[in-house]
Amino acid sequence: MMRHLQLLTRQRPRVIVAELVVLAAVVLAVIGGWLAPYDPEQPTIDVLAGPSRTHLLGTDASGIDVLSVVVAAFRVDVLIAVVSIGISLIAGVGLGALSGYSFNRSRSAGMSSTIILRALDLVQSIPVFILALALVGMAGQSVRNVVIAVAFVNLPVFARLTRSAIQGIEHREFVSASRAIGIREFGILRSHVMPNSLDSTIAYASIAVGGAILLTAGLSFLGAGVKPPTPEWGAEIASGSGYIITGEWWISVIPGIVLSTVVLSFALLGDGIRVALQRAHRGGELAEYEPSTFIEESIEERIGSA
Amino acid sequence: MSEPLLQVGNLRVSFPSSGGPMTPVRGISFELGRGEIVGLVGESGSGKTLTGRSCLRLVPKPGAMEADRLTFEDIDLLQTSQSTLRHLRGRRMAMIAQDPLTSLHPSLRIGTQIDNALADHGVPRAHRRDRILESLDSVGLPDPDRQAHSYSHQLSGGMRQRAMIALALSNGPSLLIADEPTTALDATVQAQLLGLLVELRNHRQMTVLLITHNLGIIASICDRVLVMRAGEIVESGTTTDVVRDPQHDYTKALLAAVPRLDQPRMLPHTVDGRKGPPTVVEQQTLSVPSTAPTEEDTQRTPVFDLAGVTRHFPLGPLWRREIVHALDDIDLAVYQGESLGIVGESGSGKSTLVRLLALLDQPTRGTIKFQTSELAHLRGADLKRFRSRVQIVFQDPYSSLDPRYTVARSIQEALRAHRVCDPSEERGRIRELLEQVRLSPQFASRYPSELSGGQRQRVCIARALAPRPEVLLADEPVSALDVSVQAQIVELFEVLKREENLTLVMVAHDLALVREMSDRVITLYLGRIAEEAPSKEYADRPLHPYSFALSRATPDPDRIGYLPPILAAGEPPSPVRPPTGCRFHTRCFNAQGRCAAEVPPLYSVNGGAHRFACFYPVTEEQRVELARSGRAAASDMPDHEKTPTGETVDQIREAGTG
Amino acid sequence: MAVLITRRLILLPFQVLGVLTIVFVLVHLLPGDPAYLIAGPQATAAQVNKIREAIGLNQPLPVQYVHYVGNIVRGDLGASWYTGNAVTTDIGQRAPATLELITLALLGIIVLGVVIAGLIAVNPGGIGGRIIAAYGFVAGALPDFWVGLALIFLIYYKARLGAAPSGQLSSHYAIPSRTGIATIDALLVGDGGAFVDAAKHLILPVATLIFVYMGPVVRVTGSAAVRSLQSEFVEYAESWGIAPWRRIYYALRHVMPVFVISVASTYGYLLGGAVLVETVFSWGGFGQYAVQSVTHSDYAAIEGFVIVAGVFTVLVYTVSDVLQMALDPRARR
Repeated sequence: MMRHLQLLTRQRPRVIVAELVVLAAVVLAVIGGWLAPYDPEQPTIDVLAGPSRTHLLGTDASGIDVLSVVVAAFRVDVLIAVVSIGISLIAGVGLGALSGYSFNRSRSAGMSSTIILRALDLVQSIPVFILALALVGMAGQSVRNVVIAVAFVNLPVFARLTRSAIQGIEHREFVSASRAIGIREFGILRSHVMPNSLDSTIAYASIAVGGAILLTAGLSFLGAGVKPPTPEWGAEIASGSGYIITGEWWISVIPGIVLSTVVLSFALLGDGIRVALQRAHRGGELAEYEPSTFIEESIEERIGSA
Repeated sequence: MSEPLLQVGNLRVSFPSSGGPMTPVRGISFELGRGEIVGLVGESGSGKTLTGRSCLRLVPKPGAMEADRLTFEDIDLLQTSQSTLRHLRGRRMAMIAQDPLTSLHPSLRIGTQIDNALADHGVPRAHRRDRILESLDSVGLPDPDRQAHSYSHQLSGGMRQRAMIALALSNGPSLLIADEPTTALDATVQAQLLGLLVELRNHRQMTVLLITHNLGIIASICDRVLVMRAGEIVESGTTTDVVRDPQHDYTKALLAAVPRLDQPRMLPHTVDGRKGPPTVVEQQTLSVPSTAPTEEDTQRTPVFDLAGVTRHFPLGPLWRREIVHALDDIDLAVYQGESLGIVGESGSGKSTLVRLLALLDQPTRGTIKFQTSELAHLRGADLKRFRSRVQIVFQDPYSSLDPRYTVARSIQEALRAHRVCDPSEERGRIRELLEQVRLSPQFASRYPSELSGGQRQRVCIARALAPRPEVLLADEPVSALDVSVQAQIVELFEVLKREENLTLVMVAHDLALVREMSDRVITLYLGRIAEEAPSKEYADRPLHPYSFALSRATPDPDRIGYLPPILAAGEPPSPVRPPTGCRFHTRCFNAQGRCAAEVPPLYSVNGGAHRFACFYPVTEEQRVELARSGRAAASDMPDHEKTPTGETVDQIREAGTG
Repeated sequence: MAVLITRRLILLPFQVLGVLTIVFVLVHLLPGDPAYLIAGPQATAAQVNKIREAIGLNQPLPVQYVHYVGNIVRGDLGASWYTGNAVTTDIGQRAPATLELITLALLGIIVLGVVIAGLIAVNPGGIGGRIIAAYGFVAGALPDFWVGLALIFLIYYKARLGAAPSGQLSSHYAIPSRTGIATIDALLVGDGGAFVDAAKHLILPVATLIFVYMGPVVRVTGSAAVRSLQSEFVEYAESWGIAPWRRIYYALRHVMPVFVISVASTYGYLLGGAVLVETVFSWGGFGQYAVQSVTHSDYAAIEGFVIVAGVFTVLVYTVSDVLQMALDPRARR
């Protein structure tokens, strides 16, 4: 337990800041709705007011206080992202483990593993946003469907990360040594292979949460995400998009800044976790660069499998 | 010494690190004369590689190099500009490294890289093509044009190394720094490369600084030796002086740690000498492989009995399927209480064999019996019992332990799996096991990352001993360790074998190592048994040409100045497409037409104790002649000298590579 | 080489079939009655049933699959109930404009990517490299639609530069639409003014895409370039006196396959990004069509745009693989 806490505390300053932001985001996700000074769903007559003492971040076209929307939106955006990545992580790791570990069988394991890999490959052939959009479009617009769509598009990445990590671990002699001792395959998977394989997956999960927030916001921006008038960053940006050219910038710009900061913090957190895990388990060289966004991770994957 | 080529005075190399600067090289001085091969020997961490690079002023950042003196042919390398240095590198001094796969550009053809080297030193385009082919030819590569169009990964180990030498020498330097050039190569291929270095010295007056950890190589081709340890030169002198009469303790220890070929094991239960020295083998007196057990055999109970064991691996996708013939038709017995050594080079199938014995793999055909039970049929409790009786130690101590488990936990896992003792007794048992492998109990709570290679290997051995096995298998257990540590681990194996009354099967590629610790030796070549004999007999009279070539090619510090004749030409073929008939015939100096058509059966002499698979085994005359033809490296070696089979060394070489 | 390329191309139809299959499976896994969605919210029960019959939803799955594949191979992606046209026609009209957008963005990324990777290679440890890495990191956290809006605000509104963010052309220009791409159509008609105007309209959307999607390419390629410079073969080449410029070439040459993969992947992501950016700039291309079909639950159109996007990506990856084989001999297995 202590060692796990150390992972979080022995970090570069910018990672510590990121951790605080993430913590704040999680807290706001829970209590944000109550902290909002005004009701984020109640239109008023005070429309398009610039930032002032009464409305710190101004109001939008329906007279809704932007600050309230931004603060209340934490619940929707952060929660959807965390839940969907959680689902994706568990399902992806499971799938990756089953397809990556050979269970000491040579033939049949190889076949099913390849089929799963090819299927994941094909799913990844459809651009992520388009796939998510189509899934929500066909299943209907609801929070549940957004969660499923986001979980689904992230599944292949988790599965492949886990799969390649496991395949790498399985070549290490301590796996053979465990077999020679007589430990059963599932036992080896559970106590030796999985613990050693999860480093990059866990670190990536945090980055993926950031990506999921972007995805949710994008869908809502188009009106294909959460249903209005639920407060959501992307939806709010959309409501203000028409007013940019007339100078009422705060409706679109401010939620974007908040969103970006939260996404960035999740990414930094993931990066920090990755560095700490490498230091703890490899005790050697630290790569200067590691993928920090969904896109980079999938590019690295393609490079790795080439 | 005439005008020295390179003079190094008080060379120091330091690296910044979190605990203060590290100095891997601390003030060494030496000189290299023209036309000599100087060996720089040391273990890992001695600083020898950095020393080599410093001669070219190529210390990688963030390292920093300082010296009082660094002169090459009158040029003060410490004062010259970067551009002059660049001009000197390649043109006057060059380097070859250990792994051509990582040192040559992977996406550019060999010929292109040599062309680049020529171009960057001002050779006009018109001359380059000829120079490229000439370079490749001069290092003994057959069909230079084809090699020039190849990529480095398409060539086999020895050819890659030759290609790198061709690249290094393309601009005609007079100094060559050779950093462990043969470490990754098989002994038989290594012998060829060493011969090439000697040829360069003899015909081109090349000065070679040969950096290696292998004292045997040093003894065979070096004129002088520098012994390095922890950043300092502890001893230097002519090869003869240093090897025959070492002064420094470290040098003495290094020499003592090197396994020798001519010191066979004498154990009470060996079979040799029963009926006097075996007579010269004639074709007619060969006995057909005997299935009836001899008198000796019935006294020894087989622990493992392999019959017709074959293991093939599929390779590649379904539509382009290839087969790796790892093992073919292995008939073998392992007897209780013996030390069996299995020797083979790359592609021999030795690792596959030992994994089959450990039941980590199943044969494609054939049966393996362990004390009358067939391995393939073991299930449940019987399987568990087998696992407690047969244990294995692997090659790589760095990956053999789960990095997240403490030493105690790793051993505990083995104890628990076989319920060796009550949980309350575990700690005591772990301590006992650690003591047995000569590790103090405080190691129990350490993690593998805190241990050295040798210590980790000891932990692996302790773990293997936990279930109190009867048989201990070892797959190259020391090849990843330093020479001095190797000797300790080997000794540990011997001690444990006696203490626990184990049957020991050790697999390795170093013939000397295996010979030293085994009662019986088996040679594997490309998946088949080449020869099997008691240790002493194997040493005195190897009958299979491959065993003979291997033993001649294995460097030995006792044979100073002995450059092995090239007996196994070319390189081992790939196990994907093994040669027909006798698999060694493509490289064999005794090969005749029959060898390509038929697979030789295992003939036996000496009442079945000594078996070999060859139609034309090595005769006494050949033995004498070939032993004599290993000339001292210092004298001139004309390579048109003929070997007993009537072909010149060149012709043998040509026939083998291709 | 030709043999290897042919072998790789043979895989293409199978991959396309794979994409079609995946879409089919997903569509049928989702809840909801497709016939109902296709018929549209105003249809009667009878009409819905007729459509169900027509699409063959009452038939066993394998039969449906065969019909489905057969139709697509013949170029029939169904009909959009919203526009009334065949989906293929709809997409055909709109795709060129999107293609223009993402291809220009890709070209910009390629040029900038090469320049930046080169700069990093020349001075690896320098401040430039770190700034680039930081930029890439931050850019990956920004929503592309927001960046578009921010750019509109700063450049169009505040700095009064550039064209209004509404489509490809200002409203007072009228040119016949032949390809669907305003710039090309203007050239075809010889209308210089319209061409300039169309070009001006391209600036902000393309800049948005480049700004957001250049990050990953630059980071991945940049770090690969730095590692390449430190790799053993570059070090070894110094031992035979490699010329300084060639040393950089050796390092970058080794990185080219990575660059190709990054660019190819980015092309796919750009298509996804186009959906959002087109909405912001009212571009009227494939992206907006996708949004429109989702908003109106236009079932056939949704299926259509997913399939087109998937096939597009497969084609891009195929080209990428072929380039890989040319650049990296080890990929030629």
